[in-house]
Amino acid sequence: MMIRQICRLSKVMLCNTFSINEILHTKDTKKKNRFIMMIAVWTLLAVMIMSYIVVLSQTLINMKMGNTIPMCLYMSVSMLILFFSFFKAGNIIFQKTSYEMMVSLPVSNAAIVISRFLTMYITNLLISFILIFPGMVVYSISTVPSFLFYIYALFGIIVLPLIPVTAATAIGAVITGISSRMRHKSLVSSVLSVMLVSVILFFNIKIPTQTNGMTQESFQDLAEASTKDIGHMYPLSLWYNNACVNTSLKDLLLLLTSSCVIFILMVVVVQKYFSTICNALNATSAQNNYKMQSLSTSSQLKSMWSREIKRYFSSSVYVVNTMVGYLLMVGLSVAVCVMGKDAINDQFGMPDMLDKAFPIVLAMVGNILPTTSSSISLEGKERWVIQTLPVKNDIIYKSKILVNLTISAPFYVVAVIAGIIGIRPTFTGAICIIIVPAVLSLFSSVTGLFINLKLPVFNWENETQAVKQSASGMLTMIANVVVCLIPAFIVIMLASSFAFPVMMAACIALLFLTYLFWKATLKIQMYRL
Amino acid sequence: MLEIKNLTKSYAGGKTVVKDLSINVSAGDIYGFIGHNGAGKTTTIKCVVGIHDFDDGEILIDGMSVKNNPIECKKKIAYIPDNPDIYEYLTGIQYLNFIADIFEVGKQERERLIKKEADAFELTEALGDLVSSYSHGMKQKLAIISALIHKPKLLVLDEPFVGLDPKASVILKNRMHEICQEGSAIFFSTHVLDVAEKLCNKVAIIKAGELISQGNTRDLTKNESLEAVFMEVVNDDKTDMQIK
Repeated sequence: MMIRQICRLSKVMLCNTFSINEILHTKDTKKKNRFIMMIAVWTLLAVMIMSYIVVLSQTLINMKMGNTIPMCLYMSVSMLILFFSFFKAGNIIFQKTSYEMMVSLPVSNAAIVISRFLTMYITNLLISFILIFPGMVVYSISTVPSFLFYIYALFGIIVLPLIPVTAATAIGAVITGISSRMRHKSLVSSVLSVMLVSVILFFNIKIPTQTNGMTQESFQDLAEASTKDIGHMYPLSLWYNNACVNTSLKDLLLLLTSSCVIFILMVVVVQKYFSTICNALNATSAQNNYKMQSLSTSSQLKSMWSREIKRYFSSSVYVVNTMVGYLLMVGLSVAVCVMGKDAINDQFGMPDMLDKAFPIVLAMVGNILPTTSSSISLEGKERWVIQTLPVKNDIIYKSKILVNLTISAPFYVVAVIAGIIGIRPTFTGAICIIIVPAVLSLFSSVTGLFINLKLPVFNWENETQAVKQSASGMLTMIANVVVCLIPAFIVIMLASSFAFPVMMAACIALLFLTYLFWKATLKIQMYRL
Repeated sequence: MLEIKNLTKSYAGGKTVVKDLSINVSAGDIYGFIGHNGAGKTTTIKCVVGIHDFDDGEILIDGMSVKNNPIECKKKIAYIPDNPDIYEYLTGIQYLNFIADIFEVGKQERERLIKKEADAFELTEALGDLVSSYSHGMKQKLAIISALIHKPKLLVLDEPFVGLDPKASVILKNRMHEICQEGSAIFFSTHVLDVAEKLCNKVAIIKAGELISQGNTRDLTKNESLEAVFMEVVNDDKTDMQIK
């Protein structure tokens, strides 16, 4: 009986997560085309990541570090799942709307909790397979392992998402638990999440990647040192490595048992306190003591901008996801300032990278995900308000672009100042550091808005679907990376003297593209969405 | 004030939900729009207020085309949807001030009107709280207040009495009368036939996207109740379905 309930609830949640029913049953050709576009974007992204992993795995084999491939992949994918799940977990496991509907049904709390964990597990399992499979193929081609390798590798992947999902749920619950006690819930939750993201990013930078001028022996030393380090940090990846490379049954059993036990314990604990946690997290406070005061008046644009800013800071998912880029931008500049550009060049393994292409790198990391790429989707069910207001489209769109520029401005100023101090560029170099990130910020704001208008998602149940899991966000990211990689490649290939003209030409081209996208954006009417 | 001429609207997939519908709402009218679920009431209303585009026909607000002059038309309209999903991240007063900004209502005028309407609907004390803490009825009241603070010439309401407490319903009915006496017009859909009969001077009944009958409420009902007239339409519908 309970298994049937779990299966049904999971099916409904998965249908919603992947919009399966809408894809199958919609008669709206526009919507169908939108879904096809989304599938194409996700496929493109999967192919890009898989190709990257193949290249990376092959590089490890060339460096005689092939035996660390399973461990590196296991560790990286686990970190990735943790990173992308920790604030999503709270939203999915303790989600308010469907919780209120489900508790009124004759379904046990355990079935609700397990189905929600199962949904997260299945989604992450899919990601794990996509990420690990290409690397393991490269490994098996180069080492021709025994049949047991394939069995052990498969079992390892099946349990891979369990620990990151458990940890993400715990972190997500703690963050939402702390913030739920505060008056400004979302702001506190955003600050805590941003702090955690910063810690994870710092932790990643600390992992040694310096390889310049290393010999064959030192590569092997590095492999051993890395195995030890990663083994200390995340023993499960070491057990997986031993299970795959040495076909060690003991390590496989250790991996399976520890993953399953920790996961089951988490499910039991959450199930026991599920109602209490849900009610605490979803409680709203009302003072009910307002007295009429003097009201301020604003122009339409200022009023729309002010509303957008409040919208932005009301959602921790929105804040954390869009702020990662800005944090990286400041982090990079401060790191250059503190550690020196040579140390950072070594981290990337490219000797002259920062001397030649620092403005482009800064612009690229800073504009990973502009707020505009999900600002239309986040109108959600409330979009009738702006659809019926007497506001021209350009004011609505400008207010959304201005929010992105407002949020990025302080990070941009700090990053540019720290960058100039750290790099000590020539006059033209300094101009590039100032202009290139600013131009890309404008480009990404407009492009993100245009893409989101073309690929909006309005029927989301939690904001994560609109911000993180949308084709709009992914496509914007790809567009920003592509427009940066092209000039970066040219600049790195040519002599330093060509950097200024190439970057200026790239900026002019980007401004022209921005103008074209803006014109196209203005043609899209809100009521047609 | 509102002229709907031969409106036809189809959704993607080819289903025609409103067929050749014509309605004329004059200044001072309280015009009731009645029909069973899925008859096309909300679609018609959404075409009027600019949420939906339409395939054929014309919609004029105070003589201006909704298609050609959407912004000017929207300045004259206030719309209250059946399910008032309002920005949950704003407080009630922030939402009202936002609407006043967009409609360019003067400072003193907005303060006076917000106080007047919020006091009337007993929502003043809750205006400092986030909309996310509001009940359905409170959100409905907030939507009504936001519609009244810019003195619209045409008030378009979709099931306005759903979720309102009895006192608020009475207040809304009184305000609807006052607005019409001041020269505005009201076009609203409802399932509550008693309300429509008592409140509206004109009524239109829609069935499967087509207008079945319209006119002065008194002429339409004659000696019968509006409920009886409406049930005739429903029974005709059932007979039609049985024949099919």
